[in-house]
Amino acid sequence: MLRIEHLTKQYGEKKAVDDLSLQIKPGEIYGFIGHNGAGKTTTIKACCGILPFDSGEIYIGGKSIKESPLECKSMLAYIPDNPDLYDFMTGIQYLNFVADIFGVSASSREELIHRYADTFELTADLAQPISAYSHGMKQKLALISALIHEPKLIIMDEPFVGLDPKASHQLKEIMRTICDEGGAIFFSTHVLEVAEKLCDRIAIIKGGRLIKSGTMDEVRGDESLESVFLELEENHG
Amino acid sequence: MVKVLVKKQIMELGAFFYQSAKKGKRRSRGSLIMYALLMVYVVVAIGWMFYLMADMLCEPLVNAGLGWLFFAIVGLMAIVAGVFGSIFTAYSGLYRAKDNELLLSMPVKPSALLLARMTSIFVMSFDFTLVVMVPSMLVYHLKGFGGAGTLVSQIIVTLLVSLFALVLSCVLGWLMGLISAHLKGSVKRLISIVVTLGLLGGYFYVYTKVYNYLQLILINGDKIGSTVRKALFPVYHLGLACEGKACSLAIFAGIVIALFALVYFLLSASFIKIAIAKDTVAKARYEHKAMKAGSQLGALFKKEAKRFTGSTVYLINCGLGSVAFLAGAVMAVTKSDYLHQLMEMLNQMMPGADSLILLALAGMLGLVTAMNDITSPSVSLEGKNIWILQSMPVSAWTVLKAKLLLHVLVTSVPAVIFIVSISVVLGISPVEAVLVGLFELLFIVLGAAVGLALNLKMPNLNWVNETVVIKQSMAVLIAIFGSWLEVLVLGGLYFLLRNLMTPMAFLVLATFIIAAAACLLLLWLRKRGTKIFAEL
Repeated sequence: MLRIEHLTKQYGEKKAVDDLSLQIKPGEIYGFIGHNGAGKTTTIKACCGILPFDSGEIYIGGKSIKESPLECKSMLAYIPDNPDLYDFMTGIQYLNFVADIFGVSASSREELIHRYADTFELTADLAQPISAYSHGMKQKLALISALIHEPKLIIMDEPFVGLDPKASHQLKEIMRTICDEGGAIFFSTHVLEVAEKLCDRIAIIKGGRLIKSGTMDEVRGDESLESVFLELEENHG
Repeated sequence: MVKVLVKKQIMELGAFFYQSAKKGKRRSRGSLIMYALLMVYVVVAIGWMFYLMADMLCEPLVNAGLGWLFFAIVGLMAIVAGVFGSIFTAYSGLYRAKDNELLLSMPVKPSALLLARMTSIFVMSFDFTLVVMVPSMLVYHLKGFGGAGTLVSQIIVTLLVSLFALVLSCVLGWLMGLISAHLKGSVKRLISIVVTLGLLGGYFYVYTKVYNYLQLILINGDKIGSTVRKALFPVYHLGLACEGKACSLAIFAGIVIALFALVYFLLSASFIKIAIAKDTVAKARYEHKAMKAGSQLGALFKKEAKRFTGSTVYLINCGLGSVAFLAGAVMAVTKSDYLHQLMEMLNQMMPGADSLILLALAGMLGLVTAMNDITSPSVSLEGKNIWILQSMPVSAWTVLKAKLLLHVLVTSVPAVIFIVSISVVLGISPVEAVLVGLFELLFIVLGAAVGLALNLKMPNLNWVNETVVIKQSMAVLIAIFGSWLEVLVLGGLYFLLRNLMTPMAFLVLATFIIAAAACLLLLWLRKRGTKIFAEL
């Protein structure tokens, strides 16, 4: 579903991502972990076609994000770490805007908006301007907007930040359901316990380079993900 | 404790000067000097205006024994300036301060916090009061009317006037907060737009009539003086105090200090309630309605329209041309006699002037059109939301088209209404009106494309306050002056070719030139502009 090949992105002299290769298959929840400034967000933005990169290739559903950006983007949904949404719109206006851009039919959007807004308990607030939303409500709205066009791949940067426990639980369930139905999820997180429980595969990045990847059992072995992560961080210093 | 709080308030005010509103970072030394020079220029320019006015009023009134009326008028103007300068500080600093809860959680007395907040309001009010008072005092003393005693008295009055303006700002700020807390965003915006346009209209009206008003004051000085003495008792004493009357100074000081004490007492008694008050606007409940699917361009156009109408600053600053067109259309119909007289007068002064009417109309349309610069901040206004469009399956050209479309529609509809009205009133033939309309439409398209191209070349996506990109960005500045320059260049071209072609033929030529420029720029936007947008 998502194939990253030798991705390199440089900011001036500094290599933010250095020769990174990953592959996420349909049905997989893929966790992406690393310390602050490790290159997670840069990788994620490059995968979504937001950030141009210096070398390498990124394929979504077999299409190159460089060659066919619109086709790739129509297959994916992106949720950033800080959901800056259009403050001048109401929640429902924003969802309709997203649905129009992705060409979601009237009947389909009606069903999906209400289903996910009910799940995240946001239905009553959909008529409110987004400027009146709390961080958590914006996060929920961003999640709903990502789900209403039924993407094959969801890319999320720190999706659990700001969510209340109930919404976090529901998001985890939705993630699993999407993957069980053949979708794929690639997300970054600092919450290692969540990654440990939720992910099928995991990648650890440091200084822009991939230092470990594989299935959860391959990466973790008999230890906890936290101790493996801290050990790797130290060894690759 | 008050000292520490006052220091914090002064630092907050200083941040306005030292910190760039663009990125929230400290200004560089060069930028600081430029900013200081700009401030000095603004203060001197406004101060000069008051100097000229004082120069006209001072001598005749003082010689007529109405020196106090001169200072009463100046004092009233200073109060208005002081309130104008401090009301927003009062509103945001007293009633909407972001750090109210933080400071109230500390061992700080609410009355001390209030006093510190009032200090910064006083500083703002004093700054604005000085711009009126200093030039007036200067005129008075340069004409040799006052001595050292009156100067001291006038300085004390200036401080008292600032204190009075502070009291008014606190009360008006409280009213603003009260109204704002109970109104929906859309109603607030509407009120804000009406008030801004009203103030703008009022300013132009007073500006054109100021000389008449000053003459009126000079002619009817006695009558006005007697009315002020009876009806505006404190203002009468303000005037007398400025002439050095100690008793009046004491009366005026007593009134102002008593009012300040009353407001301070009332506010400090309820400061905690005020500081933690939340807006009580009823939440809009979502009601299920049938949803409709739309096109990408339609969705983006609606988004642009909501952005435009959702911000008073954007609407007023970048859509003023549309308001001018509509006002012009109303004026053309209601003042048609005046327009006919003007045309006759022009024809008498310059025989054959009516043959130039089409060119004059086209030039005027161009100048007014330049006041609409909707596209020139539109890319910057994406700001932190830029990721939304960049991560969506929508082409950059569709995004840019939506921005262009909004600019063209918002400008062309009122322009067409104006053209139709003026054509009917001045008896312009339908063919000529269509030609002028075509020229104007293409001029609008060119203006939209120029604004968009400029903003793509000079974007600022890291703004903290949208006012920075709407009012102070280079793209906006060049777009407005560039459009005016286009009109001037076309005017110059006609001057060179006036013996070779008729005004009508030149208008056709100008339309072709504008059409060619617009096409070239639209092509650039499609080829290069889209790439720039995708890489922002």
